[in-house]
Amino acid sequence: MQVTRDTVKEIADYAMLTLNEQELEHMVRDMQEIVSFVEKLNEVPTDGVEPMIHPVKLMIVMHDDTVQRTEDLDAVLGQAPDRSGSYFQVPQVLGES
Amino acid sequence: MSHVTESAEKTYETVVGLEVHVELATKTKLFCRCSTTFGDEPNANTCPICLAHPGTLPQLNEEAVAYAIKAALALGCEISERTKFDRKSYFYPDLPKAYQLSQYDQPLGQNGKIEIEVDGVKKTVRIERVHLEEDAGKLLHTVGGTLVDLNRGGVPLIEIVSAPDLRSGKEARAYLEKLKAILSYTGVSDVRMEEGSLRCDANVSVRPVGETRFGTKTEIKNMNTFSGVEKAIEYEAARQVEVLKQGGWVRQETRRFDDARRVTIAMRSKERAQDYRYFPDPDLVPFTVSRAWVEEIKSSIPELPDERRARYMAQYGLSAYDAGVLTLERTLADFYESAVQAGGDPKAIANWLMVEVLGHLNKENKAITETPMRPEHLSELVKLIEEGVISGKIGKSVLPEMLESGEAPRTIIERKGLIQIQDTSALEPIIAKVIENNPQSVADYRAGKDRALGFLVGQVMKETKGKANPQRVNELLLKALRS
Repeated sequence: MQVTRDTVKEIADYAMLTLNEQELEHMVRDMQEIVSFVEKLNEVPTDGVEPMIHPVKLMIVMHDDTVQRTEDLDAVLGQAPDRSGSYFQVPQVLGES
Repeated sequence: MSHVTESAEKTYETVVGLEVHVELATKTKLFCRCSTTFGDEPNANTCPICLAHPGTLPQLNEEAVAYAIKAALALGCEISERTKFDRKSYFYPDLPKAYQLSQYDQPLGQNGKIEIEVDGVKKTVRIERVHLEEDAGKLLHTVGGTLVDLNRGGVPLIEIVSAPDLRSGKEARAYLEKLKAILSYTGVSDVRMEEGSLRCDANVSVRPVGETRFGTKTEIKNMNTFSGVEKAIEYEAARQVEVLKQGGWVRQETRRFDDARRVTIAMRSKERAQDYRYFPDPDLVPFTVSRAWVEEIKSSIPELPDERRARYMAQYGLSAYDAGVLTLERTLADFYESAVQAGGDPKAIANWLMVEVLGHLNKENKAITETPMRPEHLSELVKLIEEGVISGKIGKSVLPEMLESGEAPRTIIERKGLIQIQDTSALEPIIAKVIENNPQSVADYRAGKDRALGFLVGQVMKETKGKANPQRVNELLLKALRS
């Protein structure tokens, strides 16, 4: 697969990153190397092999339905850069939720 | 889309598919033990897991899985033996992880169906899938910035996706009502639309009648009531038909419904298609739903609305319509059943419940659970009327008080002295008095004017303040007039 400038721009856009010209060039090369490396796997015959979702056979552990309260709301809110009352505050977001 | 714009004279049909999100009634969130209580102080119900602090790991709520399986079974779905959670990536402050844990290609339930009935016509609506996912937080947009409340973030939801089988706003509404009924019967959700525990998006398109391909669809969001869904779909379909008739084409976009103005409005269209980049969540391993667990859950599903409706028709002789009204809400169906078991004619109880009781409650905007009246009291009221102790009219006048105070009907009628006068010796002097005071009507009756009799009966009823048994009055009056 060919990684182009457009591919990188699109991915940067999803991640909400702005790249300058130099960073963009660098990323194209970097990502091309990674993709080419991983593409090696395409050579492995996988006919009849079931897709693996998780590498280790683990049993899922579930929790029961009993409430655990967070003791200190201020400590929770204090982790964020900004708050307003007991809301987290972030820069204004435009558009519909 | 030239095939739909060739002629302006075509008739169009509406095609609708619904995506419904339902909040499950668990006490804790889907991946942590924070409370799911509605209306608490912002962010009071959050913890490092639902706030996505680095290094935390999600732990699946077993009860939420059980509820989702129960809902899927009640909707006739097959339950996947192996399933998993996937990350749906998007950036928005209501989602601190920057991905929502959802189920992409292995939903918990698939291939279900719901039976609906509109204007006497039955129809099966296919359900494509039922899957589990977490809710996002709530944002408040203010001038100073956007405020984030993550109490709802991580609350378990099921998403129920119908096939595009619905053909009108009315059908969509019937589908939602049936869906709500089934879910409330199973107890997996409170299904309160006003608290956002049931939310609905509609995919709407139109096509000329006879066309088998689908037209371009729009998605309508922001509908808060069942009647809003119905109106939004009707409006949107009419708008699309108009666009096509004008020779234009429908743009694939998301629209929002303005309930007050009854219009749908295009939301800011995304210049580029969203890419959610789904992939299996590595923090939650795939899991197996054992057949034994599914069987156990299946055995806990109560009698569902359709079965109950059929039983009410067979067992109590109710009409399809009446049985339908009485079984749409489990609480109402239970009330009816308890009343019938306490005695009295099932049909009469159904009439009193549907006409008088619901009429009164609807006026007060109350549910059957919000009145202190007990089912046995309704049964007693019907029996008192059947036995001729009070008239139907007195029954109607007593009912509001029963609904307000929760008192037994007999207590009220005894206190107010409303017991019907059947006693001949009590009625005869009143009849004699009425005959004496109304010579003209008496003469009219004797001259063959039957209507005069009705007037005289009315006078006796008035004298007795409605307490006389009208049939008895009729008999005695006739007897007196003939003598």
